[in-house]
Amino acid sequence: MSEPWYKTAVIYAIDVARFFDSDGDGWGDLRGVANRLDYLASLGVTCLWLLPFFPSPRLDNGYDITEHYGVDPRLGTLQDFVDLVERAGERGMRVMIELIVNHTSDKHPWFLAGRRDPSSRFHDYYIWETSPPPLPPGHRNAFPTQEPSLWTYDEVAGQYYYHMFYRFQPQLDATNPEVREEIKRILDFWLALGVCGFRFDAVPIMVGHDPAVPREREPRAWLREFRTHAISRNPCAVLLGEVDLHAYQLVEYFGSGDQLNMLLDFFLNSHMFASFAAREKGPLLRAMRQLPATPATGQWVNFLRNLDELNLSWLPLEERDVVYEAFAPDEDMRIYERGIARRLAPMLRDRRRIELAFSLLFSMPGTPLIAYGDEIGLGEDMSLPGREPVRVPMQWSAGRNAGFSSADPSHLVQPVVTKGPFGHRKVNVEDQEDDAGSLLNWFRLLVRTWRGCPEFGLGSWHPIDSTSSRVLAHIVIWRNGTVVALHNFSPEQEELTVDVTEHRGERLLDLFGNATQQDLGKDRFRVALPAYGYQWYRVLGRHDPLSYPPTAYDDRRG
Amino acid sequence: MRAVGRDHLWWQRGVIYQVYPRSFQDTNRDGVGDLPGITSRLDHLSSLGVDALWISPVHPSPMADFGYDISDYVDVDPVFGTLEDFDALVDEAHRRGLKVLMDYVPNHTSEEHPWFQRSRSSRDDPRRDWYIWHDPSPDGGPPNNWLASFGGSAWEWDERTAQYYYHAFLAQQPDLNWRNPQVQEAMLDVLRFWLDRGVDGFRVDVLWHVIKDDEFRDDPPNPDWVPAHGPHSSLDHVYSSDRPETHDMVLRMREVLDRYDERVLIGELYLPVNRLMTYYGEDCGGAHLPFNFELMRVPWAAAEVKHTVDGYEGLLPEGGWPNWVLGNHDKHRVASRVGPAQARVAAMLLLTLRGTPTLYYGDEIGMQDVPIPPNRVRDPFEKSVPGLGLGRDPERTPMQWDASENAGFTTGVPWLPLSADHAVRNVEVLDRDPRSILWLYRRLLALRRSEGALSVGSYTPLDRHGEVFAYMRRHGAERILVALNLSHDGQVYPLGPIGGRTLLSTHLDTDHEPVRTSLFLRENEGVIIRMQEVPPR
Repeated sequence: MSEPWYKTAVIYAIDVARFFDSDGDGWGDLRGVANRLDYLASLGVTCLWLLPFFPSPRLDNGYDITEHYGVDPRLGTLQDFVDLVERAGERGMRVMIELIVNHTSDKHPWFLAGRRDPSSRFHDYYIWETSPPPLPPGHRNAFPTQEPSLWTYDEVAGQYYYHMFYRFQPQLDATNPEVREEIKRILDFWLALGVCGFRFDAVPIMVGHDPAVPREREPRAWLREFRTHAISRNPCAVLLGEVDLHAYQLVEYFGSGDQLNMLLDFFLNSHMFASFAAREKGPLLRAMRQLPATPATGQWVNFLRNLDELNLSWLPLEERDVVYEAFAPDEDMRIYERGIARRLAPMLRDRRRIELAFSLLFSMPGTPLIAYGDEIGLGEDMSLPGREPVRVPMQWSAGRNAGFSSADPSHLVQPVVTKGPFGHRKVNVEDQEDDAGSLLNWFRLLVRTWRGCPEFGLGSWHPIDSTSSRVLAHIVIWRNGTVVALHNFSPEQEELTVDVTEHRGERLLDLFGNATQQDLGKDRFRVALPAYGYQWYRVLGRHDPLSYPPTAYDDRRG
Repeated sequence: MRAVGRDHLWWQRGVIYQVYPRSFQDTNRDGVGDLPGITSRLDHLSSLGVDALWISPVHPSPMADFGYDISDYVDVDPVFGTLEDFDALVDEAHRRGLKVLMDYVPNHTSEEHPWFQRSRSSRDDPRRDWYIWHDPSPDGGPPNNWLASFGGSAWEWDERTAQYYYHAFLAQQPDLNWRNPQVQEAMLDVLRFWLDRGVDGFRVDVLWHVIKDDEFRDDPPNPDWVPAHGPHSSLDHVYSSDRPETHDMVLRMREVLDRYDERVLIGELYLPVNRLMTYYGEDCGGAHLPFNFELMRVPWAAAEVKHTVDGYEGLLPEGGWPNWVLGNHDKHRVASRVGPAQARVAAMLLLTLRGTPTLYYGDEIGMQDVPIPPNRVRDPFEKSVPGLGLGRDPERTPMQWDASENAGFTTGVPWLPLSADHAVRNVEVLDRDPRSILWLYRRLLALRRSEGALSVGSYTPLDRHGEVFAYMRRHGAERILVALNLSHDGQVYPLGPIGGRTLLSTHLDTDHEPVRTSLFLRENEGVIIRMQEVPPR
């Protein structure tokens, strides 16, 4: 059987407005992304996830849409989009876009029409109450420190409308079949333009049970409806859900493989940071065990950082505090009373820990996702409010505006980081291209190595006994392949014994080519991992192809 | 003409393309392809990137076996055109750097050949001994138990002269008596005639049949025979074919060719590999390329294919140049044997193994066997042994050039039906799809041309892992690894402390992508990788 493409994909998230400006207006654009496709292909990524590029007032980075069928003129045109998809395809890369249908902008024509006329069908696209019911205890807006309420009074309509996010993002009513028909039209439109799927924004808020809104919701049926529709247009289409919930709630969204194909694994995400902070494997291993089994077509998408805050909601309070202490020592680094609005590199700082984090990410069962810029250790701008600090322009060179744009610096969508250890003169693509030992070139090596190990994306995993509380040792198995991954969370060298007896392994093939292991016989190996060290091994039996050096290949005939 | 390396001849570096002339291109609306048609399609072969075309017989023939029953060896059948058309084809091909190979059918003529007409006219005719005549056995039946390939006894009773004549194939195809020096001279003159016209070599039809046992001993039964193999296989043909004296005849053919520069002698030989190898001759003075048909019979699994390739490589005599064939006009098409997805992997195998590859027309667009309704069967084999799937019409259907009514093959009525998918599977449509099998063939051929390791490099087998068959080709310091996933599942292949860059994937989507230490092959994927040592970090 052919395995679904997304299980061996490497996804790369791009904020179009902040990636590369092709026309000098200070805003990144679709042609700018197209311009950089060779760079993206050189990373080894196979799927681009484009953050919203639709017409929008962009009060929430484009997650406030006024038109689902177009392109924000600052970011390009539909033709630019089609060209991008085609040129990406020529390089073996797919393009995934955002499906933002939990809410629209309050400037969306549906909302403008609906608020004016209660008898309009567009009125029923949204959730209105003349007197909103009292909020259930603990029920809060998604941005509690910025937006106190979930109901906002609209003077034109003379009613309150519901919004889980900002007040300029009125929530669509998914119980209305006409709204779901609109969503399917949106799917049709973009699938016809060649997208491989959608990152489905705010899924639980849109379809899940909400005690504040007394309407019967049918998450499973609706998700099936969307999925069935999408694959009827393109059998390979995927729905990647933003489902930021506790592990036990997640299986509801996969269904039996007939709902969302993939879920962003926020739960595992926060536990990776808990292990980095605690310097031991405990929190992460616990989370790995807590995650439900996925259906055959289901897949986790793992990430270190995305372009929102690092959400620590699913950690026990004491672990959350350890993470805060380690990675967000200043109060202004913390956000929404649940997370951290920082980039990966400034949080971890130490190159060894950054490599450890990426190696760990890629070794997690599932599909890896990288936020643009993390491959070069892009920094942050803590002077900006909300979640903006992580959304800094990509740093291409040490030149003007970091090579991001030729515009006057005052016209940039967001200032380039120019100062400090993460300033564009210290961190940029051009310099790292020329440096064989750079993070960028190491990252490429990681991706290549991962792409030779489909076990991570396709296989099943088990922890293996490592006798060390600081080293996570796990094994992944798929078809004719077995891989062992070791990750040392501690700042000290750790020695451990790896036992592959159960897997009929007789030899370990070191996949990064930097290990020192000692064969103890009887399928046990003694491995020394340096501080924050990591290692991947392919387990080979006696009759498997040998890892002989090239000089040993001798000719049969010449 | 293309420059060739000093150490290798053009037919060692080159790739051969078989044209079945009845089905390639019709220009006179009779529904049968012709020589001007082939000439008009030479640009397709140039753009594909092959080096030579071999044209199945075009000589005057009653067409009992579609040209393999020849009535005049030194002319062209009107259905295919004229001798001038042939000369024009050779000129146009040579102008493009393409070699032209002909079919040479020495074992038998048509019963309408003047030689046979004379031979059967009287027991005393000087040509009587040019064919194989024999008295009946004491019981009045055929002289021995030899069987014809297309069914029944190989002996045909001739009423007028009251003797049997021998025919290894149809009764309309009497076998020549190559033990007669006059026959040898006459047939070698045929070679000279075409060599003088500029032909670059020959594919010799049923070469192993040319000499038969001079004592006419019965062939013993074949212990492994089952009826599904057809009646001909019920005997082990150790006396009726593959006699030691055959090699003397090959030497004589070779002597003729060697008086010209770089002409090639290819033998059609359906024999076990160890027997096949004997046709290279002592010190490789025999056939340049005894056709190797092993890939057409091997079960399509990594272990079997590896066994076959390694076995063939291991048995090659010193100095013998290997060759590989994936399809021809007598065997089911490769896309039907292994399926369309694996046909791409098979193409990569064929064009990356060590040795001269021969492509069969239409395989480059993934043509499959076409089911032939009973009322349109043309092959005498199917007509004489029906229902066993032995008929060869399905793999001989017209080439599909474009989406027009008869796929651009003819504006008349095609002699065999076209494939049902010709509107979407044709050269014009696939040319526009950069991921099509046509482009895969073009890319593979271009790579074979540019990479010495692929065209003339050594072959080193690598260990099999799961359903992955892998090998290394090396030329000087260049090392190229080929890994083929022969299954419909993804597979892992460990590389060790080496890495490299993907030169080509059968999926045509991962050019120049670096790989290292371990390889993931998607379902039905083959990859060609330029190897390099993984530098220590």
